[in-house]
Amino acid sequence: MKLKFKKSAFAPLLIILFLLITSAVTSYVVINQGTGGYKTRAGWGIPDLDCKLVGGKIPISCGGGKITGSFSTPTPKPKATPTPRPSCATPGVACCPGGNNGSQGIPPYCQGGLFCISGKCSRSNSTPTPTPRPNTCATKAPNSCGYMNRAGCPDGVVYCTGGSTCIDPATGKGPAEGKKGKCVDKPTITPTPTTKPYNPNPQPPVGGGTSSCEGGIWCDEAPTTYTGAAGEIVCGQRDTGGTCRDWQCNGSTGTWSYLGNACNPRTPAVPPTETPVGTGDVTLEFTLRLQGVTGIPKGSKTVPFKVKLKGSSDEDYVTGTLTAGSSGKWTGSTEFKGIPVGADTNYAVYVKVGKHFQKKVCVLNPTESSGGQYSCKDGVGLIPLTAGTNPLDFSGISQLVGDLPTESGEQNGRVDSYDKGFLLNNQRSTDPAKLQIGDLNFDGIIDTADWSLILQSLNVKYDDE
Amino acid sequence: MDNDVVTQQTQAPKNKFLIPFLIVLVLVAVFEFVLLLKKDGKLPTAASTSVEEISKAPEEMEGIKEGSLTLSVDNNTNIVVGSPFTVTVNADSNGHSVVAFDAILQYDNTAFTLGSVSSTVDGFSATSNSSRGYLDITSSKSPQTTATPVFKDASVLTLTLIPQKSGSYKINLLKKIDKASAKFVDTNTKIFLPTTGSVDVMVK
Repeated sequence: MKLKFKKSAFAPLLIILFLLITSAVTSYVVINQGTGGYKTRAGWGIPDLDCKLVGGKIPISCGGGKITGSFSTPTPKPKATPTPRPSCATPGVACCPGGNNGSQGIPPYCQGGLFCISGKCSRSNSTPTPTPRPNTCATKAPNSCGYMNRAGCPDGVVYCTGGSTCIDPATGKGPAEGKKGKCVDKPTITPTPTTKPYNPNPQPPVGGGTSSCEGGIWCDEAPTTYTGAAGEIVCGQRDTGGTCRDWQCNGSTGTWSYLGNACNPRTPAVPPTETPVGTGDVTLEFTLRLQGVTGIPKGSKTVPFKVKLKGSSDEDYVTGTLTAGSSGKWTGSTEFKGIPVGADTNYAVYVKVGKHFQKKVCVLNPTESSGGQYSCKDGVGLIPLTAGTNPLDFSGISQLVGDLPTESGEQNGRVDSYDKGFLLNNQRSTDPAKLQIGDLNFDGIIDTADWSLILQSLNVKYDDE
Repeated sequence: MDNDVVTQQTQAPKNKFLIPFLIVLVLVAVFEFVLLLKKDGKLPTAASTSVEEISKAPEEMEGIKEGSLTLSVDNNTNIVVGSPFTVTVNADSNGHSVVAFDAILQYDNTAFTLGSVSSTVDGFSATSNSSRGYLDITSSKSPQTTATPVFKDASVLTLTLIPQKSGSYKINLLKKIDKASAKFVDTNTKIFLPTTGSVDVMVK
C-alpha cells in the first residue's frame, strides 16, 4: 500500500515533465526554423521585419528570436488629395515615367522632345527611352494645335508636324498655356549666331511680375539647368525637328513660356567632365605560348585563363579566354578598370592558364633560354600600363603545364598525385570532358605525350606567387 | 487488507497504460530533439520573408578519409650527428588500388638535412620539393606499369636524413599545409585522405 502509492505519484509527475519538455522544444523549433531568428523573417503575412504584432495576431513564424514591438492596430492611411495637373510643356515640371495612366493627375510623359528623368522633364545625354507621342496628337498646317483637351494626348495638347509650328495668330508667337493656336509652316529664319556666352536680352516681363523661372534647359544640353530672370529669353530645348527655340521667363507665373523662334546654342561648349588623374581602364592583350603546343592544335582551340596584377596597385583576378593561333601562339585579353596608369607605373603580371602553373612576369617581352626557365619569383614588377590597350607579348616564355583542374574547374596551384593520377587513369582517352582536364598539348587525346609534359614541370612544382 | 486488494486492483490498469504512454512521450521528445539538430529545416514561408544566407565554412580538401601514412626509423637509439639515418614512410590504403600518392613531411631543417628520397614500391617513382619549408613528396606509377598496388602497412618511401646537431626532435607527417595535402589517388582518380603520424628521434 505504501510503495504502490509512491509509484503512482511519480508517474503523473513524469508525464508533466515530458509534456513541458516537448512543448518547450516544439515552440523553439517551430519559431526558430532554419533562418536565424525573428529579425530575419516576417510574421504571418506581415511584411514587418521587426516582427511587430498587428491587430493582435501572433505571427506563425517569425524567425528565431524574441518578438519585438507591441500589439497595435494599423493606422488607416489618409486618402491622397489629387494634385492639379501641371503641364509637361514646361521644363522642370514633375512628371511620371512612361507607363503611368495619369491616374494621379500627372501627365505620363513629357512634351517638346524632353524626357522624364528623376521625375522632371529634361533633356539628357544618357540613353533615355522616350515615350513615343501618339500620332493622334499630331497635326499639321493649317489645322488647330495647342491645348485642345484631346483625350490620350499629354496634357491634352496637339502638336504640329510636317515642318510646321504652333503659333497663336493673335500674338504671332507660341500659344500660351492652355490656349489653342494654328499650325503654320516654319518661316525661313536665319538665326543670329551668338558669339559670346549667351547674353540674356531682357524683354518686358510677360504678363507683369518679377518672379524668376527655375529649370531652364539649354539647347546645347548643358548638364545644369538655368534660372532666368523675369522676361529673360534663352535659347532653350529643341523642338521635334531638332531646332533650338526661344523660351521666355514669365515673371508672373515663374514658369518658362515657349516663344518658338529659332536660335543658336550658346558658346563656348560645356567643359568636359573631369576624370581622376592617373587612373584609367586598361585592356591587356596577351600573346602567350603554352608548353607542348607548337601550332594550331587538333583538339580544343580555346582555354580559359586569368590574370592578376601586383605593383602600383594590387588587382584581383580577371578572367578571359585564350584562342590558339598559328605558330603555337595563343591570344586573349582581360580588362582592369580604374587602376593607376602611366609611364611611371610598375606592375608584375600573373598569368594563370587553365591547366598550367601561374607565371609571374615582371618585364615586357620576357625571354628564356629553355622552356620554363624564366623566373621572376622574387623580382619586382617593371611593366608600365597605360590607359587603353596594352599589348603584352609573353610568347618568348612558356606557360608550363601540370596544374590540372578538377571537374569543377578548381586548380590547387601545384602538380601532385591528383594531376599525375588523372593522366595515368585516362591514358588514350578522347572523352571531351576528360580532354578538358588532361589534354595538356591540345592534340585531342590524353597519352604519354601529356605525361612527358607533366614530368618536365615536376621541377617547378608550384605556381609563382 | 481489503483496501490493499482494492488499491492493487485499481492500480493495475493504470500501470499498464502508463508505461506505453511514457514510451510514446519519450519518442516524441527524441523526435523533437532530432528536429533541433537539423539546422536546415524550414516551414512554408510567409508572404514576405527574407532568408539569411548561411555562411559556409571554407571548403576543405575534397576526398574520403581513409587509410593512413605513418613513419618509422631504423635504429632510433643509435643516431649520431653527421651520420645519415633512414626514415621509412609506411602506407595503408584501406583496400584501394593506388596509382599515385602524396606525403608531406615536416622537421627541423636546422637539425636535419635531406639526403635522398626514393620509392620502395615496384613501378613507382618519387619526386620531392622542399622549397616551401616542408618536404613535399609525390610518388606515382609510370604509364607502363600495369600493377596498381594496394598498400597494407607497407613501406612506400624511404628518406635519408643527416643530423646536424644533437637533441630530441619530432618528424611529422602532415595531413595538410597550404594547398598541399596527404592523399592517395586510386584507379578511378578518387582521392582518399589518410591519417598521418609522427616519430621521435634522439640525436646523440
